[in-house]
Amino acid sequence: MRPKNQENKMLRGCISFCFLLLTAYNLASQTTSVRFQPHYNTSPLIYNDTLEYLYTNDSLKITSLRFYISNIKLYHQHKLVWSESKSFHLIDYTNSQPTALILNIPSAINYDTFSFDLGIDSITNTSGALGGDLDPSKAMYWAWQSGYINLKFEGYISHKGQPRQEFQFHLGGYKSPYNALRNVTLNCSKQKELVIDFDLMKLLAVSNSTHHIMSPCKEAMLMTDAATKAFSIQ
Amino acid sequence: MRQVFITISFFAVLLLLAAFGNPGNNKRYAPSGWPKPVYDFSKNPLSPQTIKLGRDLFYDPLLSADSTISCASCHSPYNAFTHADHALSHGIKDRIGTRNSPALMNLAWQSNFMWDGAVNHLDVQALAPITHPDEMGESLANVIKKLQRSAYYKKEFYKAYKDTAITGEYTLKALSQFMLTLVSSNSKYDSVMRGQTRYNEKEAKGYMLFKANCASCHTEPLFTNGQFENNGLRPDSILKDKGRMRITQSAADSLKFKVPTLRNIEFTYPYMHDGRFKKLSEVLKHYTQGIHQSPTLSAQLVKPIVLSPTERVELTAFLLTLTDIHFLFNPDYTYPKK
Repeated sequence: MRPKNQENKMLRGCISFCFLLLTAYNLASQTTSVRFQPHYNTSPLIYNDTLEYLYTNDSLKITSLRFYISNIKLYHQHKLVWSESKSFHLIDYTNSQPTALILNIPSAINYDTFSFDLGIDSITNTSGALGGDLDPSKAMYWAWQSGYINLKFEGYISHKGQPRQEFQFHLGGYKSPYNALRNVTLNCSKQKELVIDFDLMKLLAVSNSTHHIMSPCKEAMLMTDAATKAFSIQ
Repeated sequence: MRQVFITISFFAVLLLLAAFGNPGNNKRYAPSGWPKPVYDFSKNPLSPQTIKLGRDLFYDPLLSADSTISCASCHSPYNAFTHADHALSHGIKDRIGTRNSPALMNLAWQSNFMWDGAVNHLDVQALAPITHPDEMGESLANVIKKLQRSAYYKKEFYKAYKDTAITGEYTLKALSQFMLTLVSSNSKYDSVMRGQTRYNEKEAKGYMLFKANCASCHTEPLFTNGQFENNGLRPDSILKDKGRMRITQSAADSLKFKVPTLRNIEFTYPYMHDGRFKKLSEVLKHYTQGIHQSPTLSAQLVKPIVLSPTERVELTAFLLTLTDIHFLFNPDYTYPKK
């Protein structure tokens, strides 16, 4: 049995050391913000005061845009250097400009590649009711057939003076043969504020004849493939 | 130092105990001899307060758009949690659905839900009827808004989750907890299997017939193998229901529906996915004389089932031993007293 005051000293020493470690860790990580900037071709979509439309011109009106980003990873010279834990984010333009994602990346880490999945993985899709951005009340979960909607894109389009037509794309599906989860890998340089452009014209370019995709299917996978090529970093 | 070590060991042991399949209370969940439940209790451990909240929600028509339809409207506690005497259920504004309401029991052993397996987890099953325009016609987001306006629910959610927030996750998980308490394992059949009583002569013969003709799909002790089968029902020309094929898009799944449990079958009429048979005698007549041939017909039914009139009586006598009055009249399952 050690004498009591020696035990106290050891305890105090432990606590101080832990505190030092925490402080050192906090100083060593750097917050990096990640923002997605949707475009239609070269025109950036700016959220305006009318609170109704994201983008309007004679031929196109976008009324809804929301998508899931998950599994964020950083690579340096093809080697994985950092990954975000519990990495699920709903980027939602429906009611307001979405806030930027904040990532706590240790400042010692160098990276040249930013990687994420567009959508939700199959294990999460079979895990029942989840919280936060994955809460089923976010209107990004199919009620009639279980599974997350990876991307919702809605609006109106008219071609060459024809009557405008509604488009509704609910892209999802986690089971073969209609697994619509795709990875997006982008070259980038290390920076405090990362802006990722997202060109919606690339999605509309592969729209089917009915301009409706509402369940896991081939068209959903095709449009998701097109979406992966729509992201870029300046 | 030694005291610290003892304390850490104590908590480590507790953690180990908690990790090994304890659904959250001290009583063993699965009846003795049953397979292990599929439901992951570690993500939603049962607690009395959350079960109570789930029960309140289950019986609350607030979940529907016009506050007329609750879960219990189609899953009645007086009828083994199905909609007795209704082939197809009606929802808000008397709208009619396209399928028969399944009986809710032993849900922890199911790996998918609905007649076509559209739902992959118990926690998200409630989304289907809540949002269906012919059932409750609501949205989960709006249900949450309504719950947030209720002083009663604000209090009950806090008691269950120690959080002032009311979320979709909390609402759905609470419903799951109540539904998970609906375990039926105390019928005469179960007493016989435990050696506590015996069948009478008719029931005993019926059990042999059951094992020979029905058990390959209606496997004991759950009385379902959980698979999708085409049991030879003539396709309905109005409902045009292709069953599992709607989900998998595969022709091999055409006209296949989930094998339902036979527990409490005495009270879960009418029978089949569209409730076309009102009586058990009609069901037996279907299996012996009414099988409709099609490419996806279950292999077990290609050869006709042969039952004499006496054998039909005996088989029916056995099926009635699956009635569990402890389940049917359990006061913990019925309408909450508020």
